[in-house]
Amino acid sequence: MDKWPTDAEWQTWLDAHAPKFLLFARQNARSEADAQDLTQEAIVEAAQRQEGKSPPSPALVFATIHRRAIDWARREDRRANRELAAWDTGTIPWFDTGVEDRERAKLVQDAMRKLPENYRQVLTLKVWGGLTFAEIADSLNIPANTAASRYRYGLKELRKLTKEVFT
Amino acid sequence: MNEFDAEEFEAELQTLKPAKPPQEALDRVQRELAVQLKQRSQPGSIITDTVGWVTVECGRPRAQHASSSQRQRHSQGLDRGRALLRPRTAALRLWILSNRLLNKLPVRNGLGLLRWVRWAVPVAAAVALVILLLAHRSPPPKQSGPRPIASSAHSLLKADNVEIDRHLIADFNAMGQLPNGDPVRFRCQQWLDKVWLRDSVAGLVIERTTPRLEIVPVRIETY
Repeated sequence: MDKWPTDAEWQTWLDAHAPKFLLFARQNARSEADAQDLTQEAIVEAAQRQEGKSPPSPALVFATIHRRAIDWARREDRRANRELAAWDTGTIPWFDTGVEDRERAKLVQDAMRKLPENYRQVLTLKVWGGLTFAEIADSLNIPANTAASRYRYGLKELRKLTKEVFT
Repeated sequence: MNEFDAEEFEAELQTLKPAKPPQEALDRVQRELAVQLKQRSQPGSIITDTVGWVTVECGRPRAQHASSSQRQRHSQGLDRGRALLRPRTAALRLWILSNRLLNKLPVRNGLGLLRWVRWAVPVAAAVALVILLLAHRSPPPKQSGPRPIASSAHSLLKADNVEIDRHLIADFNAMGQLPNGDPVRFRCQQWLDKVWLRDSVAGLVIERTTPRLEIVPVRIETY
Protein backbone atom coordinates (compact mmCIF):
# COMPACT_ATOMS: atom_id res chain seq x y z
CA MET A 1 0.00 0.00 0.00
CA ASP A 2 1.76 3.17 -1.17
CA LYS A 3 -0.85 5.76 -0.27
CA TRP A 4 -2.04 6.79 3.18
CA PRO A 5 -4.71 4.29 4.32
CA THR A 6 -8.32 5.38 4.09
CA ASP A 7 -10.62 5.83 7.08
CA ALA A 8 -12.18 2.45 6.41
CA GLU A 9 -8.79 0.75 6.33
CA TRP A 10 -7.84 2.41 9.59
CA GLN A 11 -11.14 1.30 11.11
CA THR A 12 -10.47 -2.31 10.15
CA TRP A 13 -6.92 -2.12 11.44
CA LEU A 14 -8.03 -0.57 14.73
CA ASP A 15 -10.76 -3.18 15.22
CA ALA A 16 -8.17 -5.91 14.79
CA HIS A 17 -5.34 -4.49 16.89
CA ALA A 18 -6.56 -1.80 19.29
CA PRO A 19 -7.82 -4.27 21.95
CA LYS A 20 -4.41 -5.90 22.34
CA PHE A 21 -2.66 -2.51 22.32
CA LEU A 22 -4.91 -1.36 25.13
CA LEU A 23 -4.35 -4.57 27.08
CA PHE A 24 -0.59 -4.08 26.82
CA ALA A 25 -0.92 -0.39 27.73
CA ARG A 26 -2.84 -1.45 30.85
CA GLN A 27 0.19 -3.51 31.93
CA ASN A 28 2.36 -0.39 31.65
CA ALA A 29 0.14 2.48 32.73
CA ARG A 30 -0.81 3.69 36.15
CA SER A 31 -4.48 4.22 35.38
CA GLU A 32 -7.12 3.33 32.83
CA ALA A 33 -7.11 6.88 31.47
CA ASP A 34 -3.34 6.73 31.04
CA ALA A 35 -3.63 3.38 29.29
CA GLN A 36 -6.10 4.81 26.76
CA ASP A 37 -3.96 7.90 26.21
CA LEU A 38 -0.85 5.75 25.80
CA THR A 39 -2.60 3.62 23.21
CA GLN A 40 -3.81 6.64 21.27
CA GLU A 41 -0.48 8.44 21.27
CA ALA A 42 1.48 5.33 20.40
CA ILE A 43 -0.77 4.50 17.43
CA VAL A 44 -0.54 8.05 16.09
CA GLU A 45 3.22 8.22 16.59
CA ALA A 46 3.79 4.83 14.97
CA ALA A 47 1.54 5.84 12.05
CA GLN A 48 3.59 9.00 11.57
CA ARG A 49 6.77 6.96 11.50
CA GLN A 50 5.37 4.88 8.66
CA GLU A 51 5.18 8.08 6.59
CA GLY A 52 1.84 7.20 5.11
CA LYS A 53 2.82 3.95 3.45
CA SER A 54 0.74 1.55 5.54
CA PRO A 55 -0.63 1.08 9.05
CA PRO A 56 2.23 0.42 11.45
CA SER A 57 3.23 -3.08 12.48
CA PRO A 58 1.85 -4.17 15.88
CA ALA A 59 5.42 -4.67 17.13
CA LEU A 60 6.19 -1.01 16.46
CA VAL A 61 3.08 0.14 18.33
CA PHE A 62 3.88 -2.13 21.29
CA ALA A 63 7.42 -0.75 21.40
CA THR A 64 6.11 2.82 21.28
CA ILE A 65 3.66 2.13 24.10
CA HIS A 66 6.47 0.70 26.21
CA ARG A 67 8.84 3.61 25.54
CA ARG A 68 6.19 6.22 26.22
CA ALA A 69 5.09 4.48 29.40
CA ILE A 70 8.66 4.69 30.71
CA ASP A 71 8.79 8.41 29.86
CA TRP A 72 5.47 9.02 31.59
CA ALA A 73 6.47 7.06 34.67
CA ARG A 74 9.59 9.19 35.01
CA ARG A 75 7.80 12.50 34.97
CA GLU A 76 4.45 11.70 36.54
CA ASP A 77 5.39 10.29 39.91
CA ARG A 78 3.49 13.12 41.55
CA ARG A 79 0.19 11.60 40.49
CA ALA A 80 1.11 8.11 41.57
CA ASN A 81 -0.66 7.75 44.87
CA ARG A 82 -4.06 9.01 43.82
CA GLU A 83 -4.16 7.11 40.57
CA LEU A 84 -2.71 3.89 41.91
CA ALA A 85 -5.56 3.85 44.39
CA ALA A 86 -8.02 4.23 41.54
CA TRP A 87 -6.14 1.50 39.61
CA ASP A 88 -6.40 -0.98 42.52
CA THR A 89 -10.11 -0.52 42.91
CA GLY A 90 -10.77 -0.37 39.18
CA THR A 91 -13.34 -2.77 37.89
CA ILE A 92 -12.79 -2.31 34.17
CA PRO A 93 -12.62 -5.78 32.60
CA TRP A 94 -9.57 -6.54 30.47
CA PHE A 95 -11.28 -9.26 28.45
CA ASP A 96 -14.45 -9.53 26.39
CA THR A 97 -16.21 -12.62 27.64
CA GLY A 98 -19.53 -14.33 27.69
CA VAL A 99 -21.33 -15.13 30.92
CA GLU A 100 -19.71 -18.56 31.24
CA ASP A 101 -16.16 -17.19 30.93
CA ARG A 102 -16.61 -14.13 33.09
CA GLU A 103 -15.32 -15.75 36.27
CA ARG A 104 -12.31 -17.21 34.52
CA ALA A 105 -11.48 -13.88 32.90
CA LYS A 106 -11.77 -12.10 36.22
CA LEU A 107 -9.45 -14.61 37.84
CA VAL A 108 -6.86 -14.25 35.08
CA GLN A 109 -7.08 -10.46 35.34
CA ASP A 110 -6.58 -10.57 39.11
CA ALA A 111 -3.74 -13.04 38.77
CA MET A 112 -2.05 -10.90 36.11
CA ARG A 113 -2.17 -7.93 38.43
CA LYS A 114 -0.30 -9.91 41.05
CA LEU A 115 2.55 -10.70 38.67
CA PRO A 116 5.63 -8.50 38.36
CA GLU A 117 5.34 -5.93 35.58
CA ASN A 118 8.09 -7.46 33.43
CA TYR A 119 6.32 -10.85 33.44
CA ARG A 120 2.99 -9.25 32.61
CA GLN A 121 4.45 -7.36 29.68
CA VAL A 122 6.01 -10.44 28.10
CA LEU A 123 2.95 -12.59 28.73
CA THR A 124 0.65 -10.01 27.17
CA LEU A 125 2.83 -9.56 24.10
CA LYS A 126 3.21 -13.30 23.56
CA VAL A 127 -0.23 -14.65 24.43
CA TRP A 128 -2.52 -11.83 23.29
CA GLY A 129 -0.18 -9.69 21.16
CA GLY A 130 0.93 -12.64 19.04
CA LEU A 131 4.55 -11.50 18.89
CA THR A 132 7.55 -13.79 18.60
CA PHE A 133 10.30 -13.70 21.24
CA ALA A 134 12.51 -11.76 18.82
CA GLU A 135 9.78 -9.15 18.35
CA ILE A 136 9.15 -8.99 22.09
CA ALA A 137 12.86 -8.48 22.64
CA ASP A 138 12.85 -5.58 20.16
CA SER A 139 9.73 -4.05 21.65
CA LEU A 140 10.94 -4.16 25.24
CA ASN A 141 14.61 -3.57 24.40
CA ILE A 142 15.76 -6.76 26.13
CA PRO A 143 17.61 -9.87 24.88
CA ALA A 144 15.44 -12.54 23.30
CA ASN A 145 16.62 -15.11 25.88
CA THR A 146 15.47 -12.82 28.68
CA ALA A 147 12.10 -12.45 26.98
CA ALA A 148 11.77 -16.23 26.73
CA SER A 149 12.73 -16.87 30.36
CA ARG A 150 10.41 -14.15 31.63
CA TYR A 151 7.65 -15.76 29.62
CA ARG A 152 8.30 -19.18 31.12
CA TYR A 153 8.41 -17.87 34.68
CA GLY A 154 5.41 -15.63 34.11
CA LEU A 155 3.33 -18.43 32.63
CA LYS A 156 4.26 -20.69 35.52
CA GLU A 157 3.26 -18.09 38.09
CA LEU A 158 0.02 -17.38 36.29
CA ARG A 159 -0.72 -21.07 36.17
CA LYS A 160 -0.20 -21.34 39.92
CA LEU A 161 -2.52 -18.43 40.60
CA THR A 162 -5.27 -19.71 38.32
CA LYS A 163 -5.08 -23.47 38.81
CA GLU A 164 -8.54 -23.58 40.34
CA VAL A 165 -10.17 -22.67 37.02
CA PHE A 166 -7.70 -24.11 34.51
CA THR A 167 -7.40 -27.87 34.58
CA MET B 1 4.48 -27.90 34.31
CA ASN B 2 6.00 -29.53 31.24
CA GLU B 3 6.25 -27.96 27.73
CA PHE B 4 2.98 -29.50 26.59
CA ASP B 5 1.14 -28.07 29.58
CA ALA B 6 2.58 -24.66 28.83
CA GLU B 7 1.30 -24.74 25.27
CA GLU B 8 -2.08 -25.97 26.40
CA PHE B 9 -2.29 -23.30 29.06
CA GLU B 10 -1.28 -20.65 26.53
CA ALA B 11 -3.99 -21.87 24.18
CA GLU B 12 -6.55 -21.64 26.98
CA LEU B 13 -5.45 -18.12 27.80
CA GLN B 14 -5.79 -17.17 24.14
CA THR B 15 -9.47 -18.04 24.27
CA LEU B 16 -9.87 -14.88 26.35
CA LYS B 17 -10.08 -11.99 23.92
CA PRO B 18 -8.77 -8.57 24.98
CA ALA B 19 -11.60 -6.11 25.56
CA LYS B 20 -12.23 -3.52 22.89
CA PRO B 21 -11.35 0.03 23.89
CA PRO B 22 -14.32 2.30 24.57
CA GLN B 23 -15.84 3.71 21.39
CA GLU B 24 -14.94 7.21 22.55
CA ALA B 25 -11.26 6.27 22.70
CA LEU B 26 -11.38 4.68 19.26
CA ASP B 27 -13.07 7.79 17.86
CA ARG B 28 -10.31 9.91 19.37
CA VAL B 29 -7.65 7.80 17.67
CA GLN B 30 -9.47 7.99 14.36
CA ARG B 31 -9.79 11.76 14.66
CA GLU B 32 -6.06 12.07 15.36
CA LEU B 33 -5.24 9.86 12.40
CA ALA B 34 -7.60 11.89 10.21
CA VAL B 35 -5.75 15.04 11.23
CA GLN B 36 -2.48 13.39 10.20
CA LEU B 37 -4.07 12.35 6.92
CA LYS B 38 -5.26 15.89 6.29
CA GLN B 39 -1.85 17.38 7.06
CA ARG B 40 -0.17 14.97 4.68
CA SER B 41 -2.63 15.72 1.89
CA GLN B 42 -1.82 19.45 2.11
CA PRO B 43 1.31 20.18 0.10
CA GLY B 44 2.17 23.25 2.18
CA SER B 45 2.82 21.28 5.31
CA ILE B 46 5.25 19.04 3.49
CA ILE B 47 6.98 21.90 1.74
CA THR B 48 7.69 23.65 5.03
CA ASP B 49 9.93 20.73 5.91
CA THR B 50 12.18 21.39 2.95
CA VAL B 51 15.23 23.57 3.19
CA GLY B 52 14.20 25.98 0.48
CA TRP B 53 11.05 27.07 2.20
CA VAL B 54 12.75 27.46 5.53
CA THR B 55 15.23 29.83 3.92
CA VAL B 56 12.51 31.93 2.37
CA GLU B 57 10.42 32.02 5.53
CA CYS B 58 13.41 33.05 7.61
CA GLY B 59 14.37 35.79 5.17
CA ARG B 60 11.01 37.49 5.14
CA PRO B 61 10.59 38.29 8.83
CA ARG B 62 14.17 39.55 8.98
CA ALA B 63 13.28 42.14 6.39
CA GLN B 64 10.01 42.95 8.13
CA HIS B 65 11.65 43.36 11.51
CA ALA B 66 14.29 45.76 10.27
CA SER B 67 13.79 49.18 11.80
CA SER B 68 12.79 52.09 9.63
CA SER B 69 16.18 53.71 10.08
CA GLN B 70 17.90 50.53 8.93
CA ARG B 71 15.66 50.40 5.88
CA GLN B 72 16.36 54.05 5.18
CA ARG B 73 20.11 53.49 5.42
CA HIS B 74 19.81 50.47 3.16
CA SER B 75 17.91 52.38 0.47
CA GLN B 76 20.28 55.33 0.73
CA GLY B 77 23.21 53.00 0.15
CA LEU B 78 21.54 51.51 -2.91
CA ASP B 79 20.81 54.93 -4.33
CA ARG B 80 24.39 56.02 -3.79
CA GLY B 81 25.65 52.87 -5.49
CA ARG B 82 23.37 53.44 -8.46
CA ALA B 83 24.51 57.06 -8.68
CA LEU B 84 28.12 55.94 -8.69
CA LEU B 85 27.52 53.35 -11.37
CA ARG B 86 25.67 55.75 -13.67
CA PRO B 87 28.70 57.74 -15.00
CA ARG B 88 30.69 54.52 -15.31
CA THR B 89 28.02 52.97 -17.47
CA ALA B 90 27.79 56.08 -19.54
CA ALA B 91 31.56 56.09 -20.03
CA LEU B 92 31.52 52.47 -21.11
CA ARG B 93 28.77 53.14 -23.63
CA LEU B 94 30.68 56.13 -24.97
CA TRP B 95 33.82 54.07 -25.28
CA ILE B 96 32.07 51.27 -27.16
CA LEU B 97 30.40 53.77 -29.47
CA SER B 98 33.68 55.57 -30.21
CA ASN B 99 35.40 52.26 -30.86
CA ARG B 100 32.76 51.29 -33.36
CA LEU B 101 33.08 54.65 -35.17
CA LEU B 102 36.87 54.58 -35.19
CA ASN B 103 36.99 51.02 -36.48
CA LYS B 104 34.87 52.05 -39.42
CA LEU B 105 37.34 54.83 -40.41
CA PRO B 106 40.12 53.80 -42.84
CA VAL B 107 43.69 54.01 -41.43
CA ARG B 108 45.14 55.46 -44.59
CA ASN B 109 43.11 58.65 -44.20
CA GLY B 110 45.58 59.77 -41.54
CA LEU B 111 43.14 59.09 -38.77
CA GLY B 112 45.21 56.23 -37.31
CA LEU B 113 46.15 58.59 -34.53
CA LEU B 114 42.54 58.46 -33.42
CA ARG B 115 43.07 54.85 -32.38
CA TRP B 116 45.21 56.25 -29.57
CA VAL B 117 42.70 58.96 -28.87
CA ARG B 118 39.92 56.46 -28.25
CA TRP B 119 41.67 55.40 -25.07
CA ALA B 120 41.28 58.94 -23.83
CA VAL B 121 37.53 58.41 -23.41
CA PRO B 122 37.66 55.53 -20.87
CA VAL B 123 40.61 57.17 -19.11
CA ALA B 124 38.55 60.33 -18.72
CA ALA B 125 35.61 58.30 -17.46
CA ALA B 126 37.84 56.50 -14.95
CA VAL B 127 39.21 59.82 -13.71
CA ALA B 128 35.65 61.13 -13.32
CA LEU B 129 34.73 58.01 -11.39
CA VAL B 130 37.66 58.43 -9.00
CA ILE B 131 36.71 62.06 -8.41
CA LEU B 132 33.13 61.03 -7.68
CA LEU B 133 34.26 58.34 -5.27
CA LEU B 134 36.48 60.78 -3.40
CA ALA B 135 33.64 63.28 -3.22
CA HIS B 136 31.30 60.65 -1.71
CA ARG B 137 33.88 59.54 0.82
CA SER B 138 33.93 62.91 2.50
CA PRO B 139 32.02 62.81 5.84
CA PRO B 140 28.28 63.59 5.56
CA PRO B 141 27.10 66.86 7.06
CA LYS B 142 25.93 66.60 10.66
CA GLN B 143 22.19 66.47 11.16
CA SER B 144 21.03 69.83 12.33
CA GLY B 145 17.27 69.05 12.42
CA PRO B 146 15.17 68.54 15.52
CA ARG B 147 15.70 65.38 17.56
CA PRO B 148 13.03 62.68 17.38
CA ILE B 149 10.03 63.40 19.57
CA ALA B 150 10.16 60.04 21.31
CA SER B 151 13.69 60.48 22.59
CA SER B 152 13.11 64.05 23.74
CA ALA B 153 9.89 63.05 25.53
CA HIS B 154 11.74 60.18 27.15
CA SER B 155 14.36 62.51 28.56
CA LEU B 156 11.79 65.11 29.67
CA LEU B 157 9.30 62.83 31.45
CA LYS B 158 10.45 61.91 34.93
CA ALA B 159 7.75 60.28 37.05
CA ASP B 160 8.23 61.15 40.72
CA ASN B 161 5.17 59.24 41.91
CA VAL B 162 3.99 55.85 40.66
CA GLU B 163 0.92 54.07 42.03
CA ILE B 164 -0.17 50.56 41.16
CA ASP B 165 -3.60 49.37 42.21
CA ARG B 166 -5.66 46.22 41.67
CA HIS B 167 -9.43 46.03 42.09
CA LEU B 168 -11.30 42.73 42.32
CA ILE B 169 -14.45 43.36 40.30
CA ALA B 170 -16.02 39.89 40.39
CA ASP B 171 -15.31 36.44 41.82
CA PHE B 172 -17.38 33.47 40.71
CA ASN B 173 -17.21 29.76 39.90
CA ALA B 174 -18.25 28.05 36.68
CA MET B 175 -18.74 24.33 36.07
CA GLY B 176 -17.67 22.48 32.96
CA GLN B 177 -16.95 18.98 31.72
CA LEU B 178 -13.68 17.55 30.40
CA PRO B 179 -13.72 15.49 27.16
CA ASN B 180 -13.50 12.30 29.24
CA GLY B 181 -16.61 13.27 31.16
CA ASP B 182 -14.92 14.39 34.39
CA PRO B 183 -16.47 17.48 35.92
CA VAL B 184 -14.21 20.49 36.26
CA ARG B 185 -14.67 23.69 38.21
CA PHE B 186 -13.34 27.00 36.92
CA ARG B 187 -12.53 29.67 39.48
CA CYS B 188 -13.03 33.00 37.70
CA GLN B 189 -11.83 36.36 39.00
CA GLN B 190 -12.26 39.63 37.18
CA TRP B 191 -9.62 42.23 38.04
CA LEU B 192 -8.99 45.85 37.11
CA ASP B 193 -5.32 46.85 37.18
CA LYS B 194 -4.55 50.58 37.42
CA VAL B 195 -1.23 52.38 37.10
CA TRP B 196 -0.73 56.11 37.75
CA LEU B 197 2.44 57.94 36.73
CA ARG B 198 2.77 61.52 38.05
CA ASP B 199 5.38 64.03 36.98
CA SER B 200 4.81 66.97 39.33
CA VAL B 201 7.49 69.12 37.60
CA ALA B 202 5.84 68.86 34.21
CA GLY B 203 2.35 68.72 35.78
CA LEU B 204 1.62 65.50 33.96
CA VAL B 205 -0.44 62.49 35.10
CA ILE B 206 -0.66 59.30 33.06
CA GLU B 207 -3.31 56.79 34.08
CA ARG B 208 -3.54 53.33 32.58
CA THR B 209 -6.39 50.91 33.33
CA THR B 210 -6.28 47.26 32.25
CA PRO B 211 -9.16 44.81 32.80
CA ARG B 212 -8.01 41.23 33.42
CA LEU B 213 -9.83 37.90 33.78
CA GLU B 214 -8.20 35.05 35.68
CA ILE B 215 -9.60 31.56 35.10
CA VAL B 216 -8.15 28.67 37.10
CA PRO B 217 -9.47 25.14 36.38
CA VAL B 218 -9.89 22.99 39.49
CA ARG B 219 -10.60 19.27 39.19
CA ILE B 220 -13.43 18.24 41.45
CA GLU B 221 -11.68 15.09 42.62
CA THR B 222 -8.83 17.18 44.06
CA TYR B 223 -11.18 18.19 46.88
